[in-house]
Amino acid sequence: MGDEKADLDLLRRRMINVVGHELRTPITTLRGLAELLGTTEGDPEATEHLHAAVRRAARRAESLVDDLLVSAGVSTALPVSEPVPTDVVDAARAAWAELEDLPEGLDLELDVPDGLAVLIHKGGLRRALAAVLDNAVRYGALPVVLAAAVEGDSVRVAVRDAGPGIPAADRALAVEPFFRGERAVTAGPGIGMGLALAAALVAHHGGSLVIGEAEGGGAEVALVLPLAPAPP
Amino acid sequence: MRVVVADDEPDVRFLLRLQLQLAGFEVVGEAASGEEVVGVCESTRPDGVVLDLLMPRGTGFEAIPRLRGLDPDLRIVAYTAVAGQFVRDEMARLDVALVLKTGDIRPLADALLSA
Repeated sequence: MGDEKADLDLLRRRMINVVGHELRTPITTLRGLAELLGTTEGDPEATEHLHAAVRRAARRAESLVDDLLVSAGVSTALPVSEPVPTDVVDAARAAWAELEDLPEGLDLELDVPDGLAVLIHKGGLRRALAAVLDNAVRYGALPVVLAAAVEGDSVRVAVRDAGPGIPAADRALAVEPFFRGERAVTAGPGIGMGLALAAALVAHHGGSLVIGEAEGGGAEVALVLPLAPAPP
Repeated sequence: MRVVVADDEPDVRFLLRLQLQLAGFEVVGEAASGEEVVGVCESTRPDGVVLDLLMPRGTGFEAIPRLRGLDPDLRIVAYTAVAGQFVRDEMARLDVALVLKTGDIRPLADALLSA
């Protein structure tokens, strides 16, 4: 009982930190931008920039709230749409394009059979892969390789990086919401939500997230998802 | 007053530029990291700098002594989304004004003018 209370206290503190820092930024930006609407009328370029920035801040706040609830295991926040066949390469490319602060011209290395598809709700694979790829880029080292293969009725989509890997002792904790390993804490700002979010999204469709070691010692984070039936 | 804005979020820099200009400041440079802000201040020689504390590639904490080395009279205002006791104590120790991020520019403008 004592341990459970300590765990809950830790989770509460981590959630407060995430809401306080990560959510505060888009919300205060949104408020500041909203107060500037109308002040740039004589400058079409600044006006367009202002409107785009308002949209970005609102989208960011919305997706942070969604991600926060899903990764914290709030079942009412999980998608209600039915799983659909989702092309792995398309989702991987879309997820890679979402990442911020990538060195210019850097591509994701893909090793995926043509036409390979999994069953997951619309947008779910992109969202889960974006979280895993972001983790690999932030805390691992380049190159990052995404490889996928069929295993029985499932598809294993593995993201491998060339960093120091995730210590075996941290692997179970790494899918806990708001956990940040030692390397993550020292690498810079972050919220410790990525792998927890990916794990919650794939688990919703009967899949799983498996953390292991890539050849050479880097991290390997694999999403195991149901194989989509071949199109007729 | 000539100021430099340092924040890793492009939209926050854009917002601060517009807000500060409307409040009568001249924004002479922007930086996205603790490393970059030192170079920008070296080349633009501002009167003040708005400094986010949590940035990749050199935090605001690391930049403060280097900025002071460039110009001991530079008015530095730490501008951060959250500030725990450690941050409050550190800023007090370094004699750096601390302002919590808000949509309202007045606390930041006041801190720049009085830093």
